[in-house]
Amino acid sequence: MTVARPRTYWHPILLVSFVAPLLGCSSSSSSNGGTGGSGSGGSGGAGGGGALDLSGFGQSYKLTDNEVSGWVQAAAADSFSLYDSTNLWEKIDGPADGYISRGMKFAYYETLDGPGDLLNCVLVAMAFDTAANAKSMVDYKVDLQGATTPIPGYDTSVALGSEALTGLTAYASFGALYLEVGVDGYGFPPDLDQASNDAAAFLKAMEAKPKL
Amino acid sequence: MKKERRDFLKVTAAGATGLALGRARQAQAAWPTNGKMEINPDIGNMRVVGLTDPKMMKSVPSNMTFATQNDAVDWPRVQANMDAMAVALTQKSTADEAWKTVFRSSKPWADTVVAVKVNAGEARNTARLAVLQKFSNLFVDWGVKPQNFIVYDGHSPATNIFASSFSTTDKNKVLGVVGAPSGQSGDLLGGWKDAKLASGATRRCAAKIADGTVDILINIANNKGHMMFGKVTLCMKNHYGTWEPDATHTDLNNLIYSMNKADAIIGGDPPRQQLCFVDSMFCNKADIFGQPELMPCYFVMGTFAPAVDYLLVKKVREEVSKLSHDSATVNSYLTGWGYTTSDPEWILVPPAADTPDAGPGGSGGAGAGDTSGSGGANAGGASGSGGSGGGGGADASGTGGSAGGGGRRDGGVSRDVASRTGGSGAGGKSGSAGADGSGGASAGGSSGAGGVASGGASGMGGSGSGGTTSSGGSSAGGSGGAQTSASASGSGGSPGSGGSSGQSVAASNLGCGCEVAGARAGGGGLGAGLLVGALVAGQLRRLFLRRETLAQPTPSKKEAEPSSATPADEERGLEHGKEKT
Repeated sequence: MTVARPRTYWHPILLVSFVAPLLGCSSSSSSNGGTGGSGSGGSGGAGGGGALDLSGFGQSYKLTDNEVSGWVQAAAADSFSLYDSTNLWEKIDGPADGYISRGMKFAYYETLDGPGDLLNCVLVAMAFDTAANAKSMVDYKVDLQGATTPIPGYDTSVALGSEALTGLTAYASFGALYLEVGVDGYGFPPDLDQASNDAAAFLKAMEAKPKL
Repeated sequence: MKKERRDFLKVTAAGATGLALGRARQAQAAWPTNGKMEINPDIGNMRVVGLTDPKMMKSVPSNMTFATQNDAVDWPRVQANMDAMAVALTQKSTADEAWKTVFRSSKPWADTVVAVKVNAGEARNTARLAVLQKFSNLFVDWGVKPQNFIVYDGHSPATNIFASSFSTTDKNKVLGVVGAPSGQSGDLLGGWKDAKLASGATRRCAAKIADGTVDILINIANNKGHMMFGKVTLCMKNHYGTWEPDATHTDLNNLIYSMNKADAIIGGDPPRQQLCFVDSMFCNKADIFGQPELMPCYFVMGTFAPAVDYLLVKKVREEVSKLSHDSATVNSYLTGWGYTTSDPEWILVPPAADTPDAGPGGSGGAGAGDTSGSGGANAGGASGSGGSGGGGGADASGTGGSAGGGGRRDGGVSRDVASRTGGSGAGGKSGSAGADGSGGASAGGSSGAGGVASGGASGMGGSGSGGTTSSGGSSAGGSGGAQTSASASGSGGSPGSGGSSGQSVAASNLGCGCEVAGARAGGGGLGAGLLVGALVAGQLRRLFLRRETLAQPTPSKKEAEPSSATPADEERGLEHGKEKT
């Protein structure tokens, strides 16, 4: 079993956020501007130390079809939804407080269908304000759910799974990116080996995303 | 009769005052500041029925999507079980009579509007379609227009989950309509409208509930953990969505009580919210969002949300699923409404469609009972029909069960006061002798072994052919019912706690243990009871109907003894044919 080692490379948007001020670019709340022109008249960088906005988070971190091999976004209209700290309660009501109080900033919920007719995944990805807070969220959920199932390729200090009726939910964080990967359709009782391997595949795909 | 009935403050006066002030259908009487009100004059607020039946699921769903779950449900069985629960809840003899006791409208059915609050925040554990169809069928058969059977969650997009399964014309679907969240396109309840909480504060509420357009409100919750409100979210919390939710849960407990005591929910004449139902087919242990971890296959319902919620926690989440909660908050579900934790009355109903093996008939109860023994229910086996409806109470004079007789049981229902004869069917598969038992002290018919004597009979038949004699209390009334968890190889007799001098002869060592419910109802019985149950080995499924009064929990003890961790297999409660209580 290997311990996941955070990779350190810069997402272009984050890079801009540091570079633009140095170039004299005025701050902007836009996340999708150009690279920031020098001097006046720039097209607006990400500016001002601001990182992603909600839309940018969704665009950058959403899993696209087959990014995890064989898994595609479900057809249902609500299979992808974005939230921030002001409206997460609309999705999960009271438990939103548990995330927000720990520094959750943005979140998405994505439902994906796996290979065959049965496999299903609900992926929850959240951007926290700090890596420590994202990790504290993992610890909280692991404790709350009594998660004890190892996830292949990850040390138990990084990721753990909680067995469900026909699947498993894995909890992990990479930097400030917090993840819940709920995979099901693995029979009853669930084939935890397959479920945890599939959960691991999702974690690896998300770990490969730009570091938060 | 229960204490609560003496304590009730009838809503009539308050209702009359309200009538003078506003629209007739406008919600009138919130929960009184002092005292209590009766949601349904024919059903005690504290009366709650539960039913567990793993056969309601034809199989464990292959995954937890809404469609797959509902495909795995045995719809007819679910709906038959709901009928059985209604009969037990109302103590009526037919399902139609029972449901018409539960649901009342001051309008003709054709003009009646029914709203069903579901918890649509998570498709992986929400109301089962079979349950919704049962309610829809009832009302549509009575004349309610499908467009007036409205399923909603003012907070979450129920339409995304349910809408494709509903139609106002296609009888292959559930007849009814599904509303979008309040204030959004597709909302069928008129958006938000300011309304008064019981505290007097104003909060936005689904308009057609707040203004009395909705005549009947059905509250369908699911069995889910929560980080607040005692660590669980059930019927009371479900109205966070009938009322506008918010981002914070400041003083959540009192807010929820205030929501549930308000005119919008329990005002009106008859009161708007008439049934609270927890679809606990699945269970989320700790979180409202995520995959269910357990499959209790349990339904619980009553007319009064606090009692339903309290007993769901105690009987399903804690006893079956071994989950722990914030007991102080859970107790406040009742104390916050002026009740005590010993007030709820739990009736466990046998699955309606069950045809158990080898449940011998009950023996007739004879002997003069006193007034308050409550009748047992009966269960028989496939090859021995159980005593039908042991009736406790005054002058119960059942005759002994006759021998033989197979066939499907005709499960009785409990009756508070009755003079039913004892079980007529007896005998097991081999026609072994039936009962001839004379009645327990204060109860009439008792159930046969394998079934349950509830309330009245002071003992249960033991195991083995010919039964085991249990003598009932000789000088005291019926005991609480006894519950037998039958095993495949026989049933346990029950050490019925009979009267003060009653004895019971316990069962064979083949049987499972029995649980003796706390006695409460029996008065001083006169007759010396003799209960002979014939029990034939075979596969027995648990059949029981128990009426009990919950013992007062000791919070400090409960808190000091957190539920021990159990293996996941055990926590599921019902799986692989295993059952546990």
